[in-house]
Amino acid sequence: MEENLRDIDQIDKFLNNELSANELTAFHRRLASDDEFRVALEKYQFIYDELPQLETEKLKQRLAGYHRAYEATSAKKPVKFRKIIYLVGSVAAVLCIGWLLVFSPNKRGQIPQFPESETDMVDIDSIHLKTDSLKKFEYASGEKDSLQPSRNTPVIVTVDPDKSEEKKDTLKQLPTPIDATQLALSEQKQLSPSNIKKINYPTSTAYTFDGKLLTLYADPSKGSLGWEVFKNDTSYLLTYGATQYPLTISTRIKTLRELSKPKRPFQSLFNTPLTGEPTDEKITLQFESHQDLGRIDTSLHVVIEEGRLRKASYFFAQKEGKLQLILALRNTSKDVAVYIIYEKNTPQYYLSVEEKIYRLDPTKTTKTTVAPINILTDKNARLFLKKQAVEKTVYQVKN
Amino acid sequence: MTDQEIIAQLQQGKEACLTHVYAHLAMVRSWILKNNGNQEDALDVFQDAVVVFYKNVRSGRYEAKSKISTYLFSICKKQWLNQLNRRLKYERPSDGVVQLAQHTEVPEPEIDNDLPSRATYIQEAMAKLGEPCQSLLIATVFFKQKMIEVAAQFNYASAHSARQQKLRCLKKLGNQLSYDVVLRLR
Repeated sequence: MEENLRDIDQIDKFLNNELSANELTAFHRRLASDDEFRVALEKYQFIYDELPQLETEKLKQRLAGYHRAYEATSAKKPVKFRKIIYLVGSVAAVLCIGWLLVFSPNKRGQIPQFPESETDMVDIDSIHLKTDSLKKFEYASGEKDSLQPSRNTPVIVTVDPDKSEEKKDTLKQLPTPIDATQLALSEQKQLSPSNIKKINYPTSTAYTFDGKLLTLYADPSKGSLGWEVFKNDTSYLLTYGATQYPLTISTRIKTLRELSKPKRPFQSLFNTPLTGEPTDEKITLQFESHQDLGRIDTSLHVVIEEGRLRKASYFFAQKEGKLQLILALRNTSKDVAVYIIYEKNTPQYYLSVEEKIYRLDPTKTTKTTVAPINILTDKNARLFLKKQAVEKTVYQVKN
Repeated sequence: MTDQEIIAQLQQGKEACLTHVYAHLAMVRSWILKNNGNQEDALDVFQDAVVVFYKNVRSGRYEAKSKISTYLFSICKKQWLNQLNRRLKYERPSDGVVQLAQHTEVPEPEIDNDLPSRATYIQEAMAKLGEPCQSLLIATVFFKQKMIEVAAQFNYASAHSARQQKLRCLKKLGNQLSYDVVLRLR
C-alpha cells in the first residue's frame, strides 16, 4: 500500500494536533470510509509513539556518557585549584584576624551605650490573671490585627496547663517543611463529580425533535446515511434499514423505541420495505456524541494537579477503598471531564481535555503520559465523535 | 563555557556541550539529599531535567530568561516534589511499600516469540533509512524542531522544502513497517 504525501501530511498534522476543526471533521469522515487511510494512520501512529521513546532512551545513554566525562574532568580540577583555594583562604583569615585586632569594638571606650530599659516593659510577676482572658485570646487568634494589643491596653497573659498541653500536641501535628512546600507547590484540585460521568454501552439511541431538527444520540456504528424520515398525515417515522422508530415532537431527550408491533398508521407497512413519495419538506439530522447522556459516576475520585509537561499524564491509585485518578495537566483551568464507559459491566476510562479524548488505563499505577485515542481499534471512542449534520428529505408514506 | 554558548551549540544539535551542564548536578543533588532523596534519585531527576531542557532548546520552547542552572533546578525541584508528594500519599510510612489497588493484578503479557519488541522493530526500520532521513525524523518527530530551523540545519531552500522532505522520509519509514506486525505489537 502506498500513501501519497498529501495523506501523510494530513496524518502528520493530525498526530501533532495541527488540524483545524474543519480539517479534523473531514479527517474523521475519511477514516470512517477509507480502510487504507486507517491502516496508514495506524502505522504512523506507531512511529510517533515509538520513535520518541527510542530516542529518549538513546539520549539518556549518551547523557550517562557526558556525565562520566564531566566526572572524569572535574575529578582532576580540584587538585589544580585546591592550592589556590587554600592560599586565598589563608590570606583572608590573616586579614580578618588583623582587622579584629586593630578595630575590635570591645576595646575600652568603644562599647556602644544603649538607653535604659523602657518603663513600659511588662513585669511578669505583676501580671493580673483574668479568668475569661484565655477565651478572649482564643477568639481573637483568628484575626491578625486583634492579636496586636493597643499601646494603652495592659497585656494580660494567662497560662492554663491543660491548654498549653494542647498547644504542644498541635505543634507535633504541624506539617514538616517538605509537606508545607509540597502543599504550596502541588496546587491540586478535585474534579467536580458532575464532570465524572458513566455511559453504558451498548446504549439505546435517544433523540430530540422539534419538527425541523432531529438530534440523534445514536450508536456510532450506525452510519449517518442509513437513516430516513417518513411521515403520514399525523406523525413522523424514522427508519434505519428495515427497523422503524416512531417520532414524537419533544425538546427533552427521549429514547428511540423500535416499532415493536404493527399499529396504525403503519400497520400495513410493517415488515415490508417502506416506500414513499419525496416531499419538499426537509429535516436536518444532527448526530450528537454520547457525552451529554452520561450520568454522574461516584465510583471514581479525580484529583488534578499542575503538570510540567505539555502532554497530560495520569495514574490510578486506591485510596480509602476508592479508586482515585490523579491527573497532571499543564493548564489546570482547562475543561476536563472523565467518562467511564461500562461495556458488559467492565469500566473503560476516557479523559476529555478541551474536547480532546484520551483513553486511560486503570492498571497504570505509575505516572503515564496520556495516549491519543485510537479511533481504529477503540470502538467506544466513536461514542465521543460528532458526525456532520445531514439534511434529509421527508417521504410521504403510501397508504 | 557560557550559557549562551551552550544554547547556541545545542540549537545546532551539537550536544557534547551537555557535559558542562553536569556542573549543576551538585546543586540539585545537595537539595535532593536534604529532601529525603538519595544519590540515584538525584541523578535520575537531573537526567530527566536535562532531557526536557535539551528538547525544549531544540524545539524553540526554551526561553533564555534565566540561567541554565536555575532552569534545571526549577524542573528538578518540581519533579522531585511531585514524586515526594506521591510517595507521601500512596506509600505506607511503616514499610515503604506502595499501596496498590486490590484488583491491579498485572496480567502476564503474552509473548510471541516471532515478534520483535516495539523498540527493536522501530530501531531496525530506522536503521534501514540511512541519512539524512534518520536525522531529519529525529529532529522533527523527537525534538519537534521548527521547520524553518530544520531547513537551515539540513540546507533546504525553505521550510516548505524541509517539510516535504520530512514527509518523504516518514513515507520511507512507514514502508519499512508491516501493518500486520504493527497490529500484533499493539
